[in-house]
Amino acid sequence: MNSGERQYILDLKNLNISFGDRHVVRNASLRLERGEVFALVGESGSGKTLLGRSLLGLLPPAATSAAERLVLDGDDLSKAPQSRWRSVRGSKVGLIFQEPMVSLNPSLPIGTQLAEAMQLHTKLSLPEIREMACELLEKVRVPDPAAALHRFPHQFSGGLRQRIMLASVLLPRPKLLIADEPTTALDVIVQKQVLDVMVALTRELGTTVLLITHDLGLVAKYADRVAVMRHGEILESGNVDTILTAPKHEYTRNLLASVSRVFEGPHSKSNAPALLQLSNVRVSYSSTGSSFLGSRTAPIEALKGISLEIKKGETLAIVGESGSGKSSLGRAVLGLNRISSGTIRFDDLLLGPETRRGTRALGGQAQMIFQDPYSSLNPRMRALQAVCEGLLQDRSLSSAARTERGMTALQEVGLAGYESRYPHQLSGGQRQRLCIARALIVRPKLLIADEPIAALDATIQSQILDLLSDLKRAHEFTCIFISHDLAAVRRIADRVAVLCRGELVECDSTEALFENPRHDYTKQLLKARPLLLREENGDYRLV
Amino acid sequence: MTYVLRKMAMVLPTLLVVSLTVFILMRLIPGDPVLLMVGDIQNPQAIAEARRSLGLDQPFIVQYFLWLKSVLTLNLGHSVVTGQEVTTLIADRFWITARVVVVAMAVALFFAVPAGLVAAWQRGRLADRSIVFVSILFLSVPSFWVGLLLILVFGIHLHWFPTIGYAGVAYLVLPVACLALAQAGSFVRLMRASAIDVLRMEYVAHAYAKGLSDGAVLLRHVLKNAFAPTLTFAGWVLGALLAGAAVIETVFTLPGLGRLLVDSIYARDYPVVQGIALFVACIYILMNLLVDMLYPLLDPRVRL
Amino acid sequence: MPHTFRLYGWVLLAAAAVLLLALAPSYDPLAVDLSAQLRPPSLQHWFGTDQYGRDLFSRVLAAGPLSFAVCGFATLVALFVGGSLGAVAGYRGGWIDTLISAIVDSLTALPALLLALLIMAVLGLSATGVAVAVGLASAPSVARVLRSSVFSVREKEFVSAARLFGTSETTIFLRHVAPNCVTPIAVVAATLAAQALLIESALSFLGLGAPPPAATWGGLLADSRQFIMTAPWLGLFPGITLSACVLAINFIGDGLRERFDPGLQT
Repeated sequence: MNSGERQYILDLKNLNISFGDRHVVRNASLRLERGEVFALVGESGSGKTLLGRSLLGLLPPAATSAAERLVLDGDDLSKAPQSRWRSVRGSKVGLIFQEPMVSLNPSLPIGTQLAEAMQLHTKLSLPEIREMACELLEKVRVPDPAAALHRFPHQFSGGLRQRIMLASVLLPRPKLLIADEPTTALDVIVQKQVLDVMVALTRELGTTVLLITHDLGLVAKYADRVAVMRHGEILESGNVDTILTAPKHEYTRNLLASVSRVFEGPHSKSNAPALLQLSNVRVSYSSTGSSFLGSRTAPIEALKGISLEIKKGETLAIVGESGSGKSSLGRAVLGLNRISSGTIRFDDLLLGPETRRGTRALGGQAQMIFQDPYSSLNPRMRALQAVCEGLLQDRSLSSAARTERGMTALQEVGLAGYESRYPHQLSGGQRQRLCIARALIVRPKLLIADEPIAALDATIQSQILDLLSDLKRAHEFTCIFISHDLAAVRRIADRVAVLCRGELVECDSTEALFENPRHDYTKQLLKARPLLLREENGDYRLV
Repeated sequence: MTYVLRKMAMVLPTLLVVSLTVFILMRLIPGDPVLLMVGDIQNPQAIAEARRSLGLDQPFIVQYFLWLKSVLTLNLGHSVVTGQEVTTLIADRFWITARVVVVAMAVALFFAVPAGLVAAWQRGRLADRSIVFVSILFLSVPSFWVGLLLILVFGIHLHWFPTIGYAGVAYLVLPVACLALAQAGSFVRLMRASAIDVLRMEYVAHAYAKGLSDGAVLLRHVLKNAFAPTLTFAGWVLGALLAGAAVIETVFTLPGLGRLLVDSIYARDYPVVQGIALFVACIYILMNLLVDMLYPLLDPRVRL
Repeated sequence: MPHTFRLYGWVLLAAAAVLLLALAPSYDPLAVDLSAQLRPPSLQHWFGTDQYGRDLFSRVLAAGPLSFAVCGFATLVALFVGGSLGAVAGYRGGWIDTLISAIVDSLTALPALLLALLIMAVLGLSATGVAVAVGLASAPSVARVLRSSVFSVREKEFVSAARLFGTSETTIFLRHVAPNCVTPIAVVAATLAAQALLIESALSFLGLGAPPPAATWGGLLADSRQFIMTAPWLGLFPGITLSACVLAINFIGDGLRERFDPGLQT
């Protein structure tokens, strides 16, 4: 072992992982320097998670893996048996997962879970471990650490849970921390808190971080070096600045392009008439009680008096975190949820709290695209059937006419030839296209897109956004775009409305909102989300 | 506190529905109960007198409430056949049935819980497949037939255990084995399914990532969380067992509650049948209440 | 893969059984032959004979159709009654759901066998009576499963999408909800059928099943009790046949469950 290798905490050469004869990771090589933050970027199916797991020897039993060299902090683990891996896991290498909701055992107090790894790998006594744990909990900004040790996971919020996980993993002072999409399931502002804490703490402890993510904004902000992965291969790697400004591979260029575009088309005229007018709309939910005693809990107010105007032909984005009420707003407009007070005026139609069957009243003039492409399609209907469903309401159309319009609609969204496929035979992006075709076939005046791209990969997201813009130009409908993704909003919206906990906080044109946010919450939101912007000279700027 | 209160408040409506169902069913049984009780007295006046004293000339709803009132004062009536108080009858017979049922369930759980865990852990492999096969086998075989087989092998050929009647603990061994076998099958299935769910959870992967061995992960993280659904099932099972005991007791000629039920149905001894049905339902409700109280120990997310 | 084998394995078994039937020496199941009483299994009588000299093999075979008929009818009754209650409760929600759920939950306090016994007492001894009793007693569990199934499909977004087109609630139910509930129903049906066979045989064993001369396997087992020491084969073969059939149904149900939703619990 020469001194040159001492600087590398991880030396991985030609890692191959396969399931049977399906290769999922091909000849992957990585070298991580001590103390750096190294990002591994890729979309779903790139193999990045499996690579991360293989560094702990935690691959699923069906996988076979082999590496020419796997040296972790001087130890050669390429042919290590499970017992060897068990002593390395937790003590030398730590892993943080994505889902804070289920990453901690709900039936054990967090103190027990924090102590577990330490009890396994060290000979420290319980009081000593407890002291170290409290120290670390304080560093990750968990309030009242001593009391927290006795509490259960469900008593903490998602962001706190992730930070507790961080403390739990870092307690045995591992040399390498693998963070697999650690903040994807969290709200934007909470994401920033968790990542800031993580980077600060690892810097203090001298821990190397392998940050596995699909989010280039995070990479630009937090990482020193980056590797881009696709279909199991590492396409290129190097310094973050170099890769961002001069990517060598076309895939990297595509990836950068898809996350950083701004609104390019003409903004619609602001003197168009209003299509939709919300006046002091309130929506509240009472939890559905299945016990026949009924629910005694107080109803939750999702929307607390929203007044908003949407002009004909524009794209209005509604932005907010989870619990802001943005989905409830979309559903209320369409009559899917009942309004508890206030009115909604759609063209010449008035919806109020007494309106039953709001969807019937609208008669298909407004349509929606939902977030989850998996539950928005009937698994037993073929693509053509699904697309034509809206046309069934029009009795005057013959079956042949319906089929023809259905085929045209499929062609418009790029799904020509897929008409006899079932949803499970389509990818996430294809499913979303089908949903778009289904919604637009009835030529609605208003299309509400509720987080339509959140579940998709970056490059696919870009395609869908392009498709929406093209279709909007062709069919001239008004669009409400509900999202928490500020990059997408910046690209597609004329105006932006910001919701916070059921209240309308700010509403302005896109440019004005992003350049000069007025409300504190908007400022917080924008600051939390690192946005990559492409400059005219081709450089990327972090916002 | 609301959790406890809510669970207790469920009890009353359940009892009402159950008692009403039993009452309605009993009244639907063809045949005039008065004639059955009175026997072959031809005097119409005596018959009418008996009818009035039993309250059978009143409208349906009134009869129901009268009956309900007597139930609440723990007066379940008298057996048509023996004249004994129904409550005494039930009390006498209950302890045998209870012993058999509780021990059977404990034995079943003792084997089923580890088996389910192991099956889930080794999912798809030989250990899993064999455990699943055996548990489905146990589920499918009628318990009374197993009883007959056990009598044949252990009672008659090997003379290890007595098979008829009740005169000591030894008489309970075969019946317990019989019941336990049938129950073990369904417990294994349930335990395996919930263990599979738990093993998919990220906190299990996290435990492995800390370097814990398979045994430690299974015992410390999986067991508690997977057992909870099995526990809630146990309450329902107890009720089912009390009924299933009817068959077992017939096979082994045990003087238990189940056999009393069957004999009473044959003999058209309706007060006894009614009383037992109500009693079984009460036990079921009580067991479920108990389980609900114990649940927060296993799952801290449910606050008492 | 292994579960598809299970499904097809039983089809093969059924084919083998049919083949055996063709080869077996056949007797009239009711034919009394006092010269051949209580004979042990032999080449002429594969399962031996009973106390009246009747060939047990033929009796077991003859009991099959009745046992299955009762079991099948009971399953249909349970699916129909329980299914409609559960579907209505799950789809309409509100007070209908509350009411139906309350009744169904309360009825589970009475174990299926007990409920069946009580209903039998009302209906009297007959094959149809047994079927109806067992079916009604099993209905609550069907109602529960279907209710949760309908409930979860109702919440799916393709149902909301259909509403946005202005489709009527009935059409939505028929076009979207019902077809997606078929799988859970199939799984429940298999479990139900197996349970129905067992309950029916238990009732027959207790003497509360279909009256003679119509015999089911449970009835044959009841008859065999008095001869357990002298002619154990009388109890052995009907029991094996019954268990084998219940086992087959359970395997099919399990195979279905594993294939479509490994997380589904009974």
